Amino acid sequence: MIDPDVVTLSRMQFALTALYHFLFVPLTLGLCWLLAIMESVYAMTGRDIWKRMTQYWGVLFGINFAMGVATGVTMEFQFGTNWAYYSHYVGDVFGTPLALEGLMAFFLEATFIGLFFFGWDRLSRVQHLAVTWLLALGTNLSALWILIANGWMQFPVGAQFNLDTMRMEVTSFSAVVFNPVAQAKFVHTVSAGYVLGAMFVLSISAWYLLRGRNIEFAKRSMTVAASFGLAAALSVVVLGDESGYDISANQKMKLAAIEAMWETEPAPASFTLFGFPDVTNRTTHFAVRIPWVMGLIGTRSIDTVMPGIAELVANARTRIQSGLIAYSAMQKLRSNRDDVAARADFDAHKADLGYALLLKRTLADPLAATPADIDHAADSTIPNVPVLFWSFRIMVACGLYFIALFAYSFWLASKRRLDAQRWYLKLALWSLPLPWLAIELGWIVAEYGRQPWAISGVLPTALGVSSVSAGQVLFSIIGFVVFYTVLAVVDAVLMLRYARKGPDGLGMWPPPVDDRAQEREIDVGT
Amino acid sequence: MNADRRHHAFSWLASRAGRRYKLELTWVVFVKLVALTILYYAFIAPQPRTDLSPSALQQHLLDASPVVTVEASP
Repeated sequence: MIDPDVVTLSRMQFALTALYHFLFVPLTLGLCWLLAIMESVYAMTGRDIWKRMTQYWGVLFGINFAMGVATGVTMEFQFGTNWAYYSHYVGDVFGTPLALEGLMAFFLEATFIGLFFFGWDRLSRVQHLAVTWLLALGTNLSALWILIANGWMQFPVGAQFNLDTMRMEVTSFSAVVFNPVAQAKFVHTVSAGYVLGAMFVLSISAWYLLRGRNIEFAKRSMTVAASFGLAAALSVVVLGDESGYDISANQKMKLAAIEAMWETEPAPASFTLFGFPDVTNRTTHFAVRIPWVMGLIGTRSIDTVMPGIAELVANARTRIQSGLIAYSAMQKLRSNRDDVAARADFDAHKADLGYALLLKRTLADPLAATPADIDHAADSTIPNVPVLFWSFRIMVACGLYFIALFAYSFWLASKRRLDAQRWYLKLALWSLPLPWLAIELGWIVAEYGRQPWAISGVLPTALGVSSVSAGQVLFSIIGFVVFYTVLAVVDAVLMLRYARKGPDGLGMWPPPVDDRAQEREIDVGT
Repeated sequence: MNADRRHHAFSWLASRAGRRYKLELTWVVFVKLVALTILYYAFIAPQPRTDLSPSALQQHLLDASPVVTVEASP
């Protein structure tokens, strides 16, 4: 049997480092495009203020990048220490996109970020602009590969189990790359990063306007942020819908848990706007339901039935029994590789092998499982319904709020009234943490909703952990927490200091007097 | 042409504030790399290495009482 403390601690450690790492990543993903847009305006108009805007927001981008880079390395440490079986079992599939992500992040992205900062005096205006766009592209490409790896964990395609090597091996790399779940996840995730980047610029600029500082600088920044943010916020919702549609096809239990849909409803299913899921009694108290909406969103049809949790548990029970046939065949093949009947049994039932492995979490020998053990294992396929239910709803509420805020900001910008309402500026300022909250909740929905699987339907999380002791994992968690806490404090101090100083305090804007004269010349010329 | 000259006219990173910024970020990256190295040698390297040979995997997945050999790290 597997030590549940090791599983819990290993999961906790990975979750902590992943959630911490993803505080930095989305800001990098979003802010780089805003820099590219600002610099494009500078390249087209030659107006110095746009160059200074690019440089100033680039300063904050640089802090975020410097603090965030390599915070994900500790997750790769953990693949070796805590998740050795997982790494071996799926390394043939998972390793390639992970390595490509490393190449993109460390070579492409790091090269262009160096050129971005140190190329202002060495490159022509167009060359530097190309660097900034390539920086944005490289940053987003590195995210693509990690999300392909993650998408495969959600929906494993293009690979099959090899009995000789005892691991999953790639059968179609293109199927892994063009995995529909990974593609939908990529665009949804990067769009969320764009929203964060836009909110970051909008909020800090709003603070300058509240203080009566850097007025022209802040208004221009807010105009860019409002336009980009509105487009990004709309994209997040549309692409999130696509992601939800993929989940309805490939991760039915996750969707049923998000909706707290305990029983199968007649098509089209209703959407539970609000309620209190009760796990013990498998019901949702005080549920406020909107007819048809879930069925239309999840299946894009009015007659496709979405299975509820009870039906999916029954399916899991059937698959566990089927998986046990594959498991038994594996045992026979272990002693006699030429056992034709066992080979045929294994091939017929290998798709359900992962379900039989669910029994290994509580039983030393799955073949000795009683009907009660099988029922227990089938029940364990239900993720934590209340956590998913509420995380999803708060995330969606944030998404809708972002659309409203950016739409209003865009309207104010078009009327040139961004500094007219102090309540709006305060609202924009205090909205800054919300995209981070929504993004972290999104990851909780994605990853917590995948449980009890490390690889959906293939490898239970518990079977992926290394043969280490709980004390060893706890010891390394303490080290990681200390490391990340120190980093978080340094990051907050640096970010606040440079944001407070602003372009005026850093001597970026307004420019020196002789530069202003040249600026006027350029303005007249353009 | 004039605009091109302006592009080269001033680099913020060469200013006093810019030099301080460069210094601070360089320190942050340096200290972080040192911290990561310490973290690796203090917490990661001493951990035992799990045997991942196919036979060990078979034991892990198929044996009723999995006995997984653990090798000390080199």
